[in-house]
Order: sequence, then structure tokens, then C-alpha cells
Amino acid sequence: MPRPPSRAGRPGEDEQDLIKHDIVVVGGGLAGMRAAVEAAEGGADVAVVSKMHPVRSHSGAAQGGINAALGNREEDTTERHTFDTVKGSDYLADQDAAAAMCEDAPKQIVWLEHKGCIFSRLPDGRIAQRPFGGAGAPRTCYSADVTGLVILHTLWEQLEKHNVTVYEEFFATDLIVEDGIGKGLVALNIRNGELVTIGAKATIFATGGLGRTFAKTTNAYASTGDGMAIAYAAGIPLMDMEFLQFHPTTLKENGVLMTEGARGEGGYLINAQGERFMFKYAPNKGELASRDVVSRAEWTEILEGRGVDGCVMLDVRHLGREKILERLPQIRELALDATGKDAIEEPIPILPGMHYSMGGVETYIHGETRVPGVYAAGECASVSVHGANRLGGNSLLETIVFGARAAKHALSYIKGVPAIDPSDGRRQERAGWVKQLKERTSGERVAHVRRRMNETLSKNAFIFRDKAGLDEACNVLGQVWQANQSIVIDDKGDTFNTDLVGALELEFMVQISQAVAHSALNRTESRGAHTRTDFPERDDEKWLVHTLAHRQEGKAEPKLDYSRKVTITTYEPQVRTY
Amino acid sequence: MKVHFKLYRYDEAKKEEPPHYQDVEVDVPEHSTVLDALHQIKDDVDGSLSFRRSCRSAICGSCAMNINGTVGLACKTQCSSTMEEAGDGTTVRVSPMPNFDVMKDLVVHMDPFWEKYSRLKPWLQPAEPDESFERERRVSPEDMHKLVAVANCVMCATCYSLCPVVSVDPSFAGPAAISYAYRFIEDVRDAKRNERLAQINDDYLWLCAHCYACSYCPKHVDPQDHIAATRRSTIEAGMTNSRGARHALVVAETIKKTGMLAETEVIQGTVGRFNIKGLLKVAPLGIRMALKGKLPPPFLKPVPQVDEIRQVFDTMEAPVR
Amino acid sequence: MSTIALDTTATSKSTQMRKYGFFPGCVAKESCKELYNSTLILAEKLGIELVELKAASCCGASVLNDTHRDVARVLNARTYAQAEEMGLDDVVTICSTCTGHMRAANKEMLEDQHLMDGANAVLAKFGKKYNGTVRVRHLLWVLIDDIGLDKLAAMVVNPLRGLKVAPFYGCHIIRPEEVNGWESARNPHSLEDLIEAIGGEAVDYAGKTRCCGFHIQLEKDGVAANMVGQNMRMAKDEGAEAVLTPCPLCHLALDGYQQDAAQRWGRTDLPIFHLPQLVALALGVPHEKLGIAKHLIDPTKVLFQREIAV
Repeated sequence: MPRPPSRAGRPGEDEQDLIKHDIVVVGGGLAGMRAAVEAAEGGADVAVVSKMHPVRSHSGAAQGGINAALGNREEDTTERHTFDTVKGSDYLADQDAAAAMCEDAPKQIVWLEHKGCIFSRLPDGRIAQRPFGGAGAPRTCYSADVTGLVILHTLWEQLEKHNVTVYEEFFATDLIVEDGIGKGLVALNIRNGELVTIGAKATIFATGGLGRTFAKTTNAYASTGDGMAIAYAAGIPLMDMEFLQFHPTTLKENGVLMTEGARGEGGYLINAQGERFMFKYAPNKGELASRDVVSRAEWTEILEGRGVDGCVMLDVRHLGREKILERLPQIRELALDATGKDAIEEPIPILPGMHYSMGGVETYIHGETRVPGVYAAGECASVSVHGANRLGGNSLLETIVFGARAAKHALSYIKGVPAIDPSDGRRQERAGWVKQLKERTSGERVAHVRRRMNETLSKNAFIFRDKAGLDEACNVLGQVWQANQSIVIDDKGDTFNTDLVGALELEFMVQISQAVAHSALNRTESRGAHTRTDFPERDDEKWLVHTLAHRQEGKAEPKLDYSRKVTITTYEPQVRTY
Repeated sequence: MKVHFKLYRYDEAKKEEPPHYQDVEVDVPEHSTVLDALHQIKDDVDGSLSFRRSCRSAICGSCAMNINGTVGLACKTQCSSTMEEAGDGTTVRVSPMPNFDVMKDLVVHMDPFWEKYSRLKPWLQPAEPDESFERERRVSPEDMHKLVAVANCVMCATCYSLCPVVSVDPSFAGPAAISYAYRFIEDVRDAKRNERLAQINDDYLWLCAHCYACSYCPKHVDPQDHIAATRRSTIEAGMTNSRGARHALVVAETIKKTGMLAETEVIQGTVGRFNIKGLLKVAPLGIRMALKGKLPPPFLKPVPQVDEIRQVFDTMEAPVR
Repeated sequence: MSTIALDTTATSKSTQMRKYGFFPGCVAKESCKELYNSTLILAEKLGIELVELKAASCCGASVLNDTHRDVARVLNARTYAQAEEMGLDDVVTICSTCTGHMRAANKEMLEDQHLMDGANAVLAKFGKKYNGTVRVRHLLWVLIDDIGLDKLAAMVVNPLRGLKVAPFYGCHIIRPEEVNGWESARNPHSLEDLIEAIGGEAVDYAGKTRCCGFHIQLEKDGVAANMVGQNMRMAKDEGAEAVLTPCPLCHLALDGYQQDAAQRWGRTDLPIFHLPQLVALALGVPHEKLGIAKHLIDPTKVLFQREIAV
């Protein structure tokens, strides 16, 4: 990949030339790179701004697979996939968006394969598919249990092919919105501490999730909701933030993910009494019910004393050594490293863990936000295709579909945009913030403030929520918001200052966690992954609506807005059982 | 569990200050990884320590560093095991991984590593355009299986960092890049096999000393196997005129002929019997050895029952893939 | 099939009989014949019998894999069949490369019956068969496991008087760990223990487990000299006066290229001892018998200086 303009990444230079591109993508994971490739293929001058090298992106940690109604293993249709998605969302997904995604899926998988993606294959050479939670047919295309990694590599290869400019280890800090349109970003060059303005006719956020707001999560350290916070700060609302997915099978020791594919391949979930308890909660689908159902079931078993050391057991022994080594080698090694147990010989203790955010930057069906020139795709966006709960395998799909869609829309949008000339104001503001931060000599450490946020969310915004807990969360987060104004860091230098990066990430997490807690407090029903013990029923009459959270200047809590209805086209909301 | 950390500290923006080790003592849980401990240090003791990391589950490849003298992923190395194996039971010394210039503390300049990939044209180049296939190209599981090991590479640069050849000759492509070349060479959907073989052949495929330092790959990619396989492929494709290929072929020839690796013949065969210039270059060492009476016999007598050895070669058609 | 064959420390029949198969490898019988001779002299001193497998072929030396994927395995199976025919179940090598490659071949066949059958199918053509009972170990392991460092130390009559010796393992006696596994590949210490047992002072340095570059010395001008120079510089900087290696190939490279390396790495002039030479010296064998004067870097200087040889 070409190195960015000479000044980038080279310490000591201090010119303030404006960097400009037609399209700038923030985030180098699946959604970001898919968007960048689409833009490059469309002939645009596109650049990726990523706080890590693209192949380090958390997309690479996705294990189990990517959904598409290819019908390779069993007959399947995109309509079925759409229905499963909508039902999985507990009817909060916008059905036109869900349909668009599921209809586009087969084409996108074929596109990936044509680009060389290394999928596992059926004996006849077609892409193999495995069953996944909440799916009416086995439609999860996979590559052993490293699907995210192989797609990540394929897209990175395409970036190389198109010689796309990547601002590697540039941390986007602010969105510039002037004259009512998006004009680009401010970004920190992590390597030398320089703040730069990057002008862009169109900006696409693809920054992933926010798992690190919680104490234990499957997410990487990098998953700090950056794009969500940046858009939020620029006046774009966050949607459905209360809907957080707790993945059923994570390791107790370190929160690391054990793919749903383990259950897809036939693995069991067992409680202390040796029962496959899932059939009590989901008589039809058992272990392959949708994730919120499984997590709730597991947590109930654990809370009611049928767990083992706060866990239930994932048992894949009956799959046999050969199958495990062929289809689930990575999780076997992860479990071995963390617990010392070999999944071939022993069941692995697991429990639900913070995994994914159904909510994110409010977007519409092409990934566009309400601010022209600003887009979002992938986990950081809420279209919404996942509504109140996401099906396994649909997240990877979302990144590819909406990465491409956002770029496509942007390609057409930029045609009508004259030369961009953002002012230097935002950058100067941010520079002032950095200066103040570095000069501060007393205050709370970044990690300590973060822990307070982590603790309250993990305690009060986990699987089972209630008013008292959420009130407490909002309170504590308000204090955290306050404390965040005077955090102190040790590193005052310019070179690869990860302390500064950590402070920025904290700022972002503190902001968006307010939206999570307040949205959850206000939604007095249970739907999908949002379970209120004080409001255990789903209430379509009052709550079949999206939550929009608007940031308020000078206040911790967002202004909540319920004007965005759910688009229902084909499937009338029904009682949801598995 | 108490761990004594020695942390390498350096800032390239402050070249006047030489690198030094900072001593920090931490109390960590029994199963703590080195990365966990580094985070604890950063969170509570000294936030100015810089290191790359992200997933903490050995899939992003960010946290490769030198831990108690050997390179590995910090997130996959338990404090207790490294302390026991190479830290006197008490100490974990972390420093930036070798073969790279240091930027700050444990962060290195990785551009040269990524450059090695760019040189390969690391993207699929199929024969027919994608549009000719409405659906996925069909590939048998066996064919796809060949690519699986390299598909697991997380580009952490552990192998590149440990490679002794890279340390003396930075133009060497390195184990990771050669493995990636292999990934495309063996991909049946790719149409540029010969060009790729030629490219990697010229890019010092043969400079690998098969020392197996790259067997420390944390993801079991085993680059050394792919390097050998790629070499076999170049020979099979008729690229026999490089030093490396000639060397391998003449070694095989002398083993077949005499049962042993015949030093003299191997030298001549590698450099080229009539390559006066080349032979003159290797001559000084030969002369020094001759003066000490250490010259190998010009013609090696075959070992007893050498016909058996010849039969082994003949039975197993060669070169074999 | 024998479980001992892959094991490194169990007691084999050969161990009990103190009679081992001996595979000297190529370099020790060609340009570095003195290493072969020293080995036989040492064996006599130790009271063990080394029965040379005269009809054995080269182990493949890793280079053979670059042209033939499976031939090296079968050639080694043939070697093991010879040992079995002689009633031996332990083959001793004096070369790191041989150790690693012979053990790798053995491991492949012992862990995959399909490969064992394939090898025997070829051996059958000349009436041979490998039954999977042979173990391959380096003489270093035999010294430490079968004879024991305490016993060895007691046999020392010409101690090294604190000579600072840097160990140089040679890649294939330690890596990959799944193949060798006799000691930690990342942090071995057998050579250091041996050096101390015979009266020397072991020098620790980062290059002890690195590569000498032997296999690529002809590939590109100067590259092997560089690899040698880098390692010897590190040893010298830590105060080494001599180097001990269990591998004739490393011995050849380290001995031969220090002169060429001097331009970039500065003069190091470290004499390189092959394992049997230094041990035999400590056990009282006159240095003339060990052929060390043939080395390009003359070890006799430092030996006289330190009064280890007179």
C-alpha cells in the first residue's frame, strides 16, 4: 500500500498541508475495507484511516461464519433468511433493510470467493455451510473457525491490489460538519503525535463495536466505539443503544469467544445436572435458538444454582477428534491456553459475555446518516438489520453488504459535491484538548475511571436489568462523565503515545455508555437482548419503535427520541419462540 | 503471584537518551498472560509504556515482542511459564522484537515487513474474469486444504523477527512472505503460478537457511514446510538455474550417486563448474582449508550397497511434490 | 513400534549394552575427518562401543527436502533397518543436522502408519524392513543421560581451568521442539552443564541457539560470513575464549568464516571445538591426536596459554 503523503508518520515535520480525498473510510476492518474496495473499484480517490494496521482489526476475531442463502447444503431462500433475521430481531429490525441485506448476501459471498477468499468446501467444491442459531436452514458459510480472519485477509489483499492509501495508526478524533454537510475528519497521527485535518467529500464510519465499556467482553481492546462517539458528538443520533448482545459461549478466564459454530457442528450445552437444559427454554431449536434466548437460559441456570463455578459446559467431545481439528481448531486451542482443558477430551466451562452492539450510529438503508456526506457501516451502525437481537453469522454479512452499499451511495453522492474545504477549527479544538490533558497534573487515572464505567455496566446492564440497577448505572455513569473531564495521563510525549489514545478512547466510551444506560432505563419492556425483570413482556403497542439518543451539550444524559418507527413490510410481529 | 518486570524503554524522538530497562514489580493472578500484566502496569503504575495489542486472543497479531529472550505473542505467553523457563522463576524481561527499528518502548517500525508482502502482488489473479462465474468457483476440499495453514497466519512477524537471515540481510523476503507466496502458488484458482514462482525465486527464496527458527510460529503455520514446498515447485517448474536450485539438485545428485553429500562436487555444482569468477570467490576459504590439510576428497567413494540408495531415488519419482 | 524410539531419555537395549549404532554424517568424514577420529577416541575413553553404520546414506541434511519431499524419510528408514539388523536400537550421531533430520524422519513414520508402510514398500525392493524400534540421539545426550555428568567430571584429568567457552548448539539439535524435545529449544543448557563439568566456564550469549548459515554459504556472497560474524561477535563480547559446538557443519562454518566476517564484525578469532574434541581433551587425550591443529583458527594457542595443553 502506498505510504500517505510524505508528512504522515514522519516525526519532526510540522507543515499543516490539508490532506484531501473524495472518500475517507474510518476503520480498516471488514466493513471499512469492503467500502474502500468498492470505492476504489468505482474510481474514487479513497483513503482508509485506521488506528491499527487493517489486518489487526477485530473483524479478524470473528470465528463461526457469514450467512447467505446459497442453498449449498440444503434448500434455502433469501426470504427465509429475511424472516429468520426479522424474527431474530424480535421484530425491531427494519424489514426493508433486512431484506436488502439477505437478498444481497449470496452475491456478496460469491464476490468474496471470486476475490480468493478461503472458504471450507463441500466435497463437490461448493462453499460449505453450517447451521447457526435461529436459522431455518444451514446457511452460515465458514472457513474452519477463522472466518473473520480469512475475509479480512482477502479484503486486505484487494486494498493492496488497488493500491489504496491507508493512514495506518491514525486515530480519528472528530467529524467535521460545516454548512450542514460532512467535510472530513480530524485525526491523530499516533506515531508522532501530530493532529491533522483530512478533508473528505464523504466519510464512512466503520469502527466496530463498544465491548470495552464492559469489564469482560469478547471484544478486543480496540473496541471502544470510536465512530459511534465521533458521530454522536457531531450531532448524529445513536440508535437502539440499549440492545447489547451477550454471546452465550465465552470463556470465564478471559472473556474470549467460543464460536457458535461449536453448537452449529452439534455441540451441547450442559448444566451441573448433566442436562441439555436448552430444550427447556427452546423446545425446537435447543442450543441453536437465537443468542438472547440462549444467554438468558444459561444465566438463569447459573443464577438458579445449576451452574458449575458460575458457568455451564460446552461439550463437543462427541464430535470426535477429527472433526474438531478440522472445523474448530482455533477454539480448541483458545480453550486449552486459557483453561488447560482439551475440548476433545473434556467439556469447556463457558458463560455469557458482552459481545456485540445491535445499536450504533443511526443510518438508513444505504448506510447514509441524516447528515449528507456522512455514512456508517458494520457494527458501529444501526440500520437497523438486527433490531433487538442479532443472529450469528449476520454481523459479518452486514459488514460486507453495508460496507459496499455505503460506498456505492457515496460514489454517487460525491459527484454532486464541489471541492471540500473544511476549516481548521475542529483540529485546533482537539489540539487544545490534548494540550490541557497533557498539562494536567492531578486527576483520576484513565484506567480507574474506565473501571468505574465497566463495573456499573457489567453489573446493571447485563442480561437481566431492572429500574433500580439502571438508575444506579445512569448515576454512576454521570459521575464518570464528570470525572472524565479531569483525567490525568502519564505520557506527555509525542511518539506512539498510547496513554493519549487510551484517554481518547475513554472519552468516547464515556459518551456512548450514557446512551446505552439511559436508553435501557427508558425502555420499559423486554425485547430481544434487552430483558427487564420489572417489565418481562414485549410491548409492541408502546415499544415497536427505535430509540434515538441525541447528545446534549454539557450534559451526560442524552435526549431520547422515539420518532423513528420500525419499517414493517412483510412480517407482522408475532410471539417469538424457538 | 509476584512478577518482576524489566521493561525496555526508548523514544526515537529523544535519541539522546539511550534505551534502558525499567524495573516494575507487580502482583498478578496465577494465569496472567504477559499482556495482562503489561496492562496492569500501564493502568496502575506507568501509563507511558507503549505496546501494540488488540484482540488478546492470538488472532490480531499485534503483540509480538521479545519476552525473556525469545519472540512470541504477549497474549499467548503465560507469565508463570516464561518466568520458569527463562526468567529465573522471578523475572519477565520484555523488549521490542528484533530485526526491526524501535519506535517507542515495545513498538517497532513494521514497514519493511509489510513491504515484503507488497512485493508478492498478494491478491488472486484468476485466468477467467469473475463475471464468467455466476456462482463460486468450485474448489475441492483437498485443494483448499493446502491453503489452510497459511490462512491461519496472523502476520505477527514472530517468524520474521526470529529469522537469522533477515537479521543479516534485510532484503530477504522472510518466512511469512514466502508462505504467503506459497498460498497463491498453491491456489488452483490463481493463474499466475509460474510468474509467482519466478518472483519468489528471485526474491531470495533460496536464502532460507532452514534453521527452523520460524517453527516458533504461534499459529502453527510452519513456514519452513511451505518454503521447502515452494522450492520443490520452482524446480519442478524448471527454474533450475539459480544458485539455490543448483545447490539442492547437486546435493541430491551426490547423495544418489555416492550415498553421501560430496562436499567438493557440491561446491562445484552449486557455483558452476565453469563459473571461474564464482569459483574464485569461494576459493579463498578452500585454499585456507587446503593449506591445513582439510580439503574433502575430490571424488567420494560410494558407500556399500549404494545401489539400494539409487533404487530409493528411482522408485520415488523426483522431484516429488 | 517402539515408544522408546521417539523418547529421548528411556533406557534402550543399546544403552544397557553400552553398544550403539554410529552415524557420523558427511562432513565429519570428509573435510573434517579429525572430528570423526576424535569421536572414536572419545568412545574408547568412555568405554562405549560405537558401531558405524557404514552402508548408511546421508540423512538428507534438510537440503534434500528442497528437491524430494519423501526420499529423505525412506533413506533414513534404510539406515534404521541396518541398525536393527545389527541388533541395535540406538543410533548415535555427532551432528546437529543429522540428529534433527533423522529424528524428524523417524517421528513421521512412527506417528503415521501410512508413511511407515510407504517407506517399507520401497525398502522391500531390496529386501529390507524398518520395524520402528530405533532411537536416534546425539552423543551429547548420551554423555549426559547414559554416562552422566558426575561420572564424566570424575573422569576429567585435564580440566579446562576455567576456559571461557561459548556453546553453539546448532539449529537442528534443538528445533523444532516437537521433533527433538530433549531439552528446551528456547533456553537449552546442556552444553553449558557439560562445559562446567569438564572444568570450563560457560559463556551465555544471545547467539547460542542461532544459525551459522552453513546451508546458505554458497547462496549469496557474504551471507554466511555475516551470520557467523554476528554470532561470534556476541560470544566474544561476552568474554568467550573458545566455542563448543555439537555440529560439524557449524564447526566448519564458524571456523571457516570468521576471517571473512572480520571486515564487518571486527576480529573474533574464536577457536571452534567440536563436542568430542573438547571432551576428549579434558579426559586426557593429547591434543595432537584430536587433530585440532587442522582447524583454521588454531586452538592450540589458547590451550597453551591456559595450560590446558602442554
